[in-house]
Order: sequence, then C-alpha cells, then structure tokens
Amino acid sequence: MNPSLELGPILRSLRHHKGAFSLLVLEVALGFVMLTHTMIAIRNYYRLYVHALGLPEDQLVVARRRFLQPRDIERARDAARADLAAMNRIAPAAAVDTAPLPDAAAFPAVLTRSQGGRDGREVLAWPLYATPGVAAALGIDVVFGTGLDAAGVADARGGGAKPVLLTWSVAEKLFGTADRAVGRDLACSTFGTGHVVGVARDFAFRGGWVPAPKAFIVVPAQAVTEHEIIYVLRAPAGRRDAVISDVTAALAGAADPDATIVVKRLERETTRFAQLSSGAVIILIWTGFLVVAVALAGSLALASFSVAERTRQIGVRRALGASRGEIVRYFLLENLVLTTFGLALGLGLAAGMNQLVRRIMEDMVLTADVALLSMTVFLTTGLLSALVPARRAALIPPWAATRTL
Amino acid sequence: MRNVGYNLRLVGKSLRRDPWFTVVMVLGQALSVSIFVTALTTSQRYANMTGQVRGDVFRVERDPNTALVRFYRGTQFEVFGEFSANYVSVPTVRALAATGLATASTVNFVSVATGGPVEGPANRLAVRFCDAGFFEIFDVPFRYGGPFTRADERISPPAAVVVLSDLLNQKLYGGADSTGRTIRISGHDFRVAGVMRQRAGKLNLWDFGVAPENIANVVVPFAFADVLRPMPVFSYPPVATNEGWHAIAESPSGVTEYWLRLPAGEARTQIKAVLASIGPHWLLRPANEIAGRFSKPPPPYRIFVILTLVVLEVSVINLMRMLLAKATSRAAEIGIHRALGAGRNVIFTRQLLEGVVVSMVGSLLGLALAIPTVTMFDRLIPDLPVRLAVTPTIVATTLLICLLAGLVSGIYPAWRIASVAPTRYLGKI
Repeated sequence: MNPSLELGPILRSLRHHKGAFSLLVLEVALGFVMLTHTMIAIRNYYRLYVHALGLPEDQLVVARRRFLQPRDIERARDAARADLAAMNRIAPAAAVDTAPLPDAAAFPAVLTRSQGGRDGREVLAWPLYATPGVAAALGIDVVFGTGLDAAGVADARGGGAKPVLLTWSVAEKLFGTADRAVGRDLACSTFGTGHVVGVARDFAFRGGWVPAPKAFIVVPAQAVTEHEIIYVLRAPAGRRDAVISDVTAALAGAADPDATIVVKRLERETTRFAQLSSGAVIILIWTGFLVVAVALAGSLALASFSVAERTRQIGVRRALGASRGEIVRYFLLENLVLTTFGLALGLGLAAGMNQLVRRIMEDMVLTADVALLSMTVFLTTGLLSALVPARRAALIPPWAATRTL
Repeated sequence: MRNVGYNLRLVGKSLRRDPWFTVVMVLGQALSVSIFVTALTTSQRYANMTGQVRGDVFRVERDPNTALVRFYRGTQFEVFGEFSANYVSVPTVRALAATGLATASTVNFVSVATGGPVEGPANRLAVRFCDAGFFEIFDVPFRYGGPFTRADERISPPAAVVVLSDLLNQKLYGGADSTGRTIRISGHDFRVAGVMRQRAGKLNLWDFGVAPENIANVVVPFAFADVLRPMPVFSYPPVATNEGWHAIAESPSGVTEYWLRLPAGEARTQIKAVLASIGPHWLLRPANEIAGRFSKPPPPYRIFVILTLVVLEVSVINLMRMLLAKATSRAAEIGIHRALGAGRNVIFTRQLLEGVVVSMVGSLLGLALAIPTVTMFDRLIPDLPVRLAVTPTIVATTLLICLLAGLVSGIYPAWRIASVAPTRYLGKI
C-alpha cells in the first residue's frame, strides 16, 4: 500500500479521535520544550566541567603557610621571601593573593585605557596579585612583551605605573589587537595606573564558572596577609608527589612554630564548583530521562486500549485485504504524523520558552543541534511506543470486523 | 458523604481492574512530583527572610557599580554586582556609631583565620565579626546558650565570648551543646556563649554575600577586631591583601555591612544627614526590602523550577490521556449506567474523582520519593552547607498543586464520558 494513500484514512482517524490525539500532540510538544532546555543546561554544565583552563593543572601544587596568630605584614613578607627562596630550589614558585580555582566569586577590576579609552568602554578583568615568578609557577605562556620577571619589579606600590601582564582576551578588548597592548598604559579601578609589559595566552585562574573566566590582569605584589601566605608551584610532569613532599619538608623546616603548613595538589575535580557542575549534569539527565520515560510508559500502557478501541476498524481493513505489515505501517505512520505535529508545535513553544529562560540566564541558547537531538529522541520513542500497539493490531483477524463490541 | 464513600469504592474497583495501568499512572505522577518537590526545596532556601528582621531595621548602602552589575547579569552570580553597594568603611561605621541615634547597630563581615577547639589542631576557621546588636536586629534564635551582650562588649577588656553558628557547631562538636567550651581563634581563647539555631532548609538573611565555605562560622565581637586583625573576605573597592587590618580600618574601602535599628522620625532624618555629609550616594535601605530582594533564588534554580513545572505538566497531560483512554474503553458500561438512571453529574463526578485519587496517591508517593531525591540532590550539588529540607510549606504547596492537577487531568475525560448518550451502545450488546 502506498503510504501517501494511507494518509487519508489517518487524517480522518485523527479527526475522529481529535481529543486523544490533541493530548498526545500537546504532550510531545511540552516534552520537547522540556527536553531541549534540559539538554541546553546539560551542555552548559558539561562545558564548565571539562572547560580547559589554559593552565597545566596536572602539574600545579598549592602550598599555604597559615599563621596561628596575626603576623605583621613586614614579618609576613620576610616569611614569604624565605619560603620562596627555599621552594624555588625545588620547583618554580610564587606567592599569590588567592588560591587557584577558588570556590567563591569576587569583584573583578574595571580597566580603561589611560588615554582615550576605546569608545569609552570599560573592560572587566580578574586581578591576580602575585610575586613576579608567577608566570613560571603557573606555566603562563607570555606571547608578547615580557613576563613580570624581566620587568625586574617587586612591589611597585605608590610609585608610578605598575607593570602588568594581561591575558590575550583583555588586551584585545582594551587595545584592539593583543600585540598593540605592550607598552601601553591603563587605568585600573583597584590599584590606579598600570603599564602593560606583556600579553599572555588566555588562562582561567578562578576556574570556568565566573563571567569572563579568562580575562586576567596579573599585578606584581608581595601577596601576603596577616593570616596566611598562599603559594603556587609547578612540578615537572610525574613529579608532583615528590615535589609536595620536598616542599612540605622545606616549609616545615623553616623555624616558625607559630604557623601550620598545608601543601596539596591542585585538583579541579574536587573543588565545589566542579562537583556542582558534574552533579548538575547527573540531575538534569535524570530530569530529562523522567519526562521521556513518563511519556513512553504512558503510551505503552495505552497500547491495549488504543487497539481495543479500533478493533473493528482494523478488522475491516484486514477484511479488505490489508496485510499485517500494512497494519503495522499504518500505526507507525499515524504516530509519525502525530509526533511531527507535536514537534512542530514544540519547536514554537521551545523558541518562546527560550526567550523567557535567556532573560534569566543568557547562556541558555537553543541551538539547532539540541533541537535536532531532541526531535530524534521523540521520533524514536514515539515509534517505539507505537510499535507495541501496531504489532498487537496486526494480530487482529479479519473476522473481528463482524464483532459488535 | 455516603455518596463520596460509594464513589470512592467504585473508583477503587475501577483502578483495581487494570492494576498495571494504574501503577503506570501513579508512578508517572509520583516521579514527576518527586523532581518538582526537589526543585521547590532548592528555591525555598531563599524564601521567608522577612521574618528574620524587624521592621525598623535598615542597612547603609550606596549605588552599586553599574559595570559590575552588568558584568554579572544573566549569570549564576547575578546579584553579585549589586553587592558592591553593601560595604561600608570602618571610619564610616565609627562616624555613624558616634551619633548614638540607633537603638541597635551592628557591623557584619567575615574573615578567615586559623583556629578551632583548644583541645584539637588549628585549622581554617571562618570568623564573622559583629556587634551585640546583631542578635537583636536579626532576632536570632538559639539552640544552646545565648548571645554575647552589649555589657560583654563594654567592659574593659571586652569579655572573650563568642557564638557558634549551628553548622560550625555540627562540624566542631558534632552538634552537642558546646556552651562553656573554649575555642582558640588566631591565638586567642574565647568561651562559647551560645549556638545559633539554623532554620531547616532555609538560608539566613545575614548569610547573603557570604561564600558557602564561610557560612559555618564563629561569631566574634567586633570589639576584638584590633586584636584578631581580620582580613575581610569581600571589600569594595577591593583592598589589597597585603594591607594589614590597621591600614584597612583606616582606608575608605568598604569592608563590612552596617545594619541599624532606628526609631521612626528624627533619628532617621539625622542619620541621613550624616550619610549625606560622608558622600552623595549613601542611603538607608529598609531591611524588608533587602529581604525581598534576596528571596529570589539564583538563576539556575529558577530555571530548574520552570523545567520541573513543565515535567509536571507533561505528567498531567499523560494522566489525562490515560484516564481518557480508560474511560473511552468503558463507554458501553457507562451507557448502561446512564440507561439505568445514573445522571451525567454522577458519571462526571465519579470519573473526576478517579483523576483526583490517582493524582493525590501519585503526589503522596512523589513526596515520599522526594526525600531520597532531595538527599541525592544535596550530595550531588553541595551548593550550600544549609541542607535542603522538605518543609510543611512545600508539602502543602505540592498537595495543592497536585489536587489542581488531578482536577485538570480528570475534567476532560469526565466531561467526555459523561456526554455518552445512553442509547449509543444499547443496541450493540
């Protein structure tokens, strides 16, 4: 039987059962809306989880010296100098104002060009205050200009422009092209005037969760507090555990009973945000699975009813010469038509819903691949759910047409 | 009433006739309800904060940095840009406190120190600095003991007493009564005067703007700031970490929230005048307004609630389809009922009742399933140390929504089946 010839009876049947079929169309449409948005969220969280930070994460070590009592800043600086001298004999090290991949957001700095900011635009960047060896300690790749080491600066507080290192994306936003940034001055909301001495390949020190995670400005400073000094070290590949043990011994060896030492590998997977993103992916997969499973189970449970209701109709078709295969095909085609209607309606609803959702979170963008994947899921499950009643219907003998009920 | 009982018996019979079909209907509804309840618990963490603060309380704020507000908008840290308005410098706090106009006032900021119970090793310890007014302004409930008082602050030197948050007490003392125990913070010993009570499944108003890892904290009188020399976790404009406390305390950078309780009338006008003399952009923000602003859950949770609402809708339509199919298959039987004298309203009510019963049983099962789902959510997404909780409000909201869902899913099938003409099937039997 020609499928196009079957469309006539199918459309007549749809008109006859319009109540039940409208509900199916609506269920597919809403299911599609839900599944597309769940997939978008899964994609976004997964990207956050696997987000390349641009740092050699598997080589990084974080060490802390925590003071048991508040220590004067000058004395804390002395401790930092001694620690760095000891650590640099083991691996490149630097003191930083905050640990890499911190679990909290903070305030970025607002940067503008010192002379005639481009269109008066402000560029926001995460400041990283660190001792000059930070590029080597974090494995930052300086692509234009020099690192902070070469600038030969320590803490330039109070005197003129501070030498700073920008990541590529910040330099580009602020000065048009990254290579033109070197040698230029900028104004920073946190420390005043800066002089760009180098541009580094993009890296995300605070993890991938914060807005503009790879927008960084590295500022030389003796990064200590009255309570703690945080160091980052870069251990050669495969030697991280040995470095941790050597650094622990070196820091503990310094005659400072009034402090505790904590040395750990940098483990992105164990940070709270990494756990959140992997957890969110699991929860969202479960939510998406639920909606498909509920719809599928409902359709399968309806199989016996939908066949029983149409026994006479099928019996007549069989009596008029329709083969079992044609009955199966009829059911599948009917379901395909309904699912297609549902998906068409769902596409419109999903576009509307996406407008609403993007007002809440901008990165929840509905893309063609997500829409296509959701359509495939619904077409497949739709056909699967139609297969059971279709096969049952195919078993109906032609004489069933003569039954009254 | 007898009719309801009779109808319920008939509904029970009808549901027992196709047990697997009933199971699918109930289970579909239950699973959807369980995930919806989970989403509700996440958003409920941010609800009912107004009750935590008195009506005559204000916070000193200024205009937020618009570039920062724009930067964070549409991200999961949406309100963070606005936090740039919340921090006041220590000199400003001193100037406002010197007026003596507030009946109670408190600073509120968190710093990280090293310490812990004296009998154990020193670890990272989050410390909240505030004044005795904190407990009065926020009407803080206590699990054990009580707050430190203004008298504790006034004596010289101030009494070395602290209060633990419920979460820190759990962490350090396993939730036992720790009043009278000694805790060492940055080398100084303090006696625990009380342990605050954490509301189940809800964040505290005073914890907004505090990083999750610092919510389990020890509350220390601000009078000890010069001794403990805190490094405030957040400041705006940001202070450099290598500035010591004494430099920070003199700087114009905002490092602390400042809350005041002000009687109506003259005191408010005078405080506003003092603020105007400090700078042009300072204002008194009513605490109820702040509580209302924080009652909105963060964007990901709002989207999660929307998604689970769609799941619930899908399950309602699914239920409607199943009830309709079931009712249609029994059209002949209904026709006989009608022929024997049953009115349309009787058939309609019975069918509607079936929808409501399935929906309510599904929702009760869903609420039961929500408990492991919420626990799983908490483990997988340890967003905040305040555990999610299925509160009575959530149970009541869910039951109400499910009752409505049951009515909605039952009405169409009931109307369809009640419209069956009694003569339609009689000749065919």
